[in-house]
Amino acid sequence: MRNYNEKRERMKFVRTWAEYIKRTPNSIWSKQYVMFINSLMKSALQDKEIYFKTHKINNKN
Amino acid sequence: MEIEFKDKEIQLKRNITDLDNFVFEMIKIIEKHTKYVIISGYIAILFGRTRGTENVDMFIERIDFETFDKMFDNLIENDMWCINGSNKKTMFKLLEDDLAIRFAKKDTVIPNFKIKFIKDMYSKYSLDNKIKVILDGEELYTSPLEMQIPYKLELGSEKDVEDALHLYVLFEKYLNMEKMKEISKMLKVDLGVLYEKL
Repeated sequence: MRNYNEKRERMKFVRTWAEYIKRTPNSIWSKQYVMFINSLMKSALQDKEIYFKTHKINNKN
Repeated sequence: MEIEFKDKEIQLKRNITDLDNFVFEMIKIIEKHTKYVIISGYIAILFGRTRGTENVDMFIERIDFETFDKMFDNLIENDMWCINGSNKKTMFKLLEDDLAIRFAKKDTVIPNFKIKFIKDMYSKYSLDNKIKVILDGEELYTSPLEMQIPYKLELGSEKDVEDALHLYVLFEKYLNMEKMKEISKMLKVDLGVLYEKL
């Protein structure tokens, strides 16, 4: 669990990032953004059994 | 960020992610069979928030079994699979019980589309007042931001509150604040966190 200061720091970062992308050309901010989002997608664990367990999905196949 | 905002339409220019391509692929199939609206985390990501997500949440208009049957087959023909199961009657019953069913690309589980039927006045409001987002020539429909921001605050986790703040900072000058306050009141959420000096 994050403490109050950590939460404020996170919120400050979120605000700073949103303000940064508002004033920055796409060619700069969205290149970094795409690399980040794509790397998260690529590293996602594609194990069905673990997914069923963690999401309490009772697969009805 | 290059954004053009007018009435119920947002034109957005940015590079496309693999997640966006997955979303475009899914909605092209879904919209052949029913009306939809995308809600929650993907909206913040769509508008530049840097975080991961396992699923894209979507409400669809209630449909009968015959239409669902066709939509399900259409998804399977396009290399998707239903994570909850393959028995269409059982999957339809889950939707009718206001539960979600999830579809992903074959041999994967993440990302997936979490689909639910419209169930209450808030989901109906999102569908009836959806906004069109045009990204790289592709169109998709999302919940109005005046609904989405209070809804995220109501969910209340750190991630959700951060999503709300991201959208608020980005669209501050375009938001209908009266409408957002009205919705916040109905949802009993405090917008104060959005204005807090950090």
